[in-house]
Amino acid sequence: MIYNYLLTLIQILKNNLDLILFITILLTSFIIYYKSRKFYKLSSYQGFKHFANAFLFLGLSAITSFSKTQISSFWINSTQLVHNSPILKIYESLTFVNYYFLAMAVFLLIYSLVWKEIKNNRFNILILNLIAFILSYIAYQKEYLFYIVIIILLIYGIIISYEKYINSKNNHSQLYLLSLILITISFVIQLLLGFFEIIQTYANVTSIGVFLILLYLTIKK
Amino acid sequence: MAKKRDRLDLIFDILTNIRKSNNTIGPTNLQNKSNLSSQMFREYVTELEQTNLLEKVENDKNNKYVFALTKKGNEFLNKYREMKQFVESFGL
Repeated sequence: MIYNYLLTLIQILKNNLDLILFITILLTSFIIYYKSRKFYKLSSYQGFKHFANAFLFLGLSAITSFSKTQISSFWINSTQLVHNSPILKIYESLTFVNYYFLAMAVFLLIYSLVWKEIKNNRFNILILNLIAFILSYIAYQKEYLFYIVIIILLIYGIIISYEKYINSKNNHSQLYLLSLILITISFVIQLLLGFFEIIQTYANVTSIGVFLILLYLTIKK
Repeated sequence: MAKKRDRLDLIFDILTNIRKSNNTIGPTNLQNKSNLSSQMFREYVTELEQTNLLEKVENDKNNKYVFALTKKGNEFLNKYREMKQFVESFGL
């Protein structure tokens, strides 16, 4: 009987994985944004600001991505998704802003790691916005190029985080390093084998795990 | 060799020195205790005053001013360890 309950529970979780991932990302992003912003207001320490903004963009990216999925699942077989239909236009716009938000989130995540080494310039963020905009435009035609850039940036982030971990030997920074490695592997596998449903499930489960680690690192005292 | 202090550590040191001196300390004394050059000290104190972490209070005894912690400055000290842990965890 317990076995049957477990099977039913697993089936429910599997069917609602997108929703669970969406809620996990949204909740984690909101808590990290709120806490980093609070620390920034208190200390004016730039690292907090960039980190907060990275998770603001990540949250927005989750919202647009989830909306896209909902639109496609509701209208995918409908005649409303025909060429030039308003629904299709909304879907395309959401796709573009989703790329832009995700690119900005990754840029700012990496920037929060290296901002001390870069000369402080008020144009830095403007340049990142511009690059993210161009990248989103490219992604619209060649999605794989977008993900290759994201993966390269994440690998760079892993290298920087590893150096920081070696210098500090902090157990929590080890967990952050692990999160970056897991999310990068998830992106690589999705890029190479994303058409398999089992890979998509693996990627979603990994992402949920990563965001739960980030949530733990944020709320622990 | 002592580890180089970063921005958060320096602010913490300045504010802690004010707190340890019963919330009133003169500029020279604070600079010596914070172990900063006069230029660095001036820059930090101006910034901390602008961000409302400390305030200049007139000393009734000699008409000179002393530094005192603000409510926000006290909150910074209370949250310092948490902020430092956050910075180290995420490599900020």
